[in-house]
Amino acid sequence: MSFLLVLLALATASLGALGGLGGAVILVPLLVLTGTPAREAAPLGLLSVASRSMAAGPWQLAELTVHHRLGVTSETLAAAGASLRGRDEVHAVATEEGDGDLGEQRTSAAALPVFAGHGRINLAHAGPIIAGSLLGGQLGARLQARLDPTVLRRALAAVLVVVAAILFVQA
Amino acid sequence: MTARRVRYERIIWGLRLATRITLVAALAGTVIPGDTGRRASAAAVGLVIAAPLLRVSWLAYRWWRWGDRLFASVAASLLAVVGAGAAIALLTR
Repeated sequence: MSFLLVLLALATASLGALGGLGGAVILVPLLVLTGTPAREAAPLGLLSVASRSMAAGPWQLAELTVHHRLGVTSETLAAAGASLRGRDEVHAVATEEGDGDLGEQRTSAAALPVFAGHGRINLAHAGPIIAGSLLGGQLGARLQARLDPTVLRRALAAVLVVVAAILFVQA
Repeated sequence: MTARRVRYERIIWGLRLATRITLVAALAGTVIPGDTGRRASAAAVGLVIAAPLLRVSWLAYRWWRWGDRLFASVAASLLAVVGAGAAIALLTR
């Protein structure tokens, strides 16, 4: 199971870095499809996004593509929403009314402490997810410069359609 | 190398170091069974959560030192929101 999680995280983080998506958009449905409860998959997805972001940070700073003042300002409001959403979702999942969270990259840092505080992070799965996402984030960032953006967008759209179709059929 | 790039050299170095330590901890958590592996995974999770917060703390400190009180306050507000969210999560656990 650990090896499968590393591979899933590596593949989705690479795709996320290539296409500019939060890796959780693809990872969380795949985790649910492989038998991980949605309650566990949501925080694992956020961990993947945060790890990928951490791996990409030094590259983005070196390329001067980060606007810190804009980021911190927009993040302050997003963090308030993410903290509330993370807290609300805990109660929703507890009453079996909610499902997985496809969190955005900017809100992961704010929502993760809430999930950690509630003890919702499965540590046995967290290691492989973080390892795969860190490696995938770096791999995706390096590949991005070499691939044709149009081909990349079409490939990513195809992957998303396949994931959506599988989820639709499974539901 | 531009002045802006020089300014970021320390944070780039810090993020690269944090990424490497986190990767080692996460890999240890993946391959080592039992409590030791769980502790290594917990350390990796802690680093993933702490890294962006430390980055914002560093920005708040730097902006405050440069006299940019407005954005230093915004960064401090962000940390306060995250801290409040974590505190509420712990209290309502």
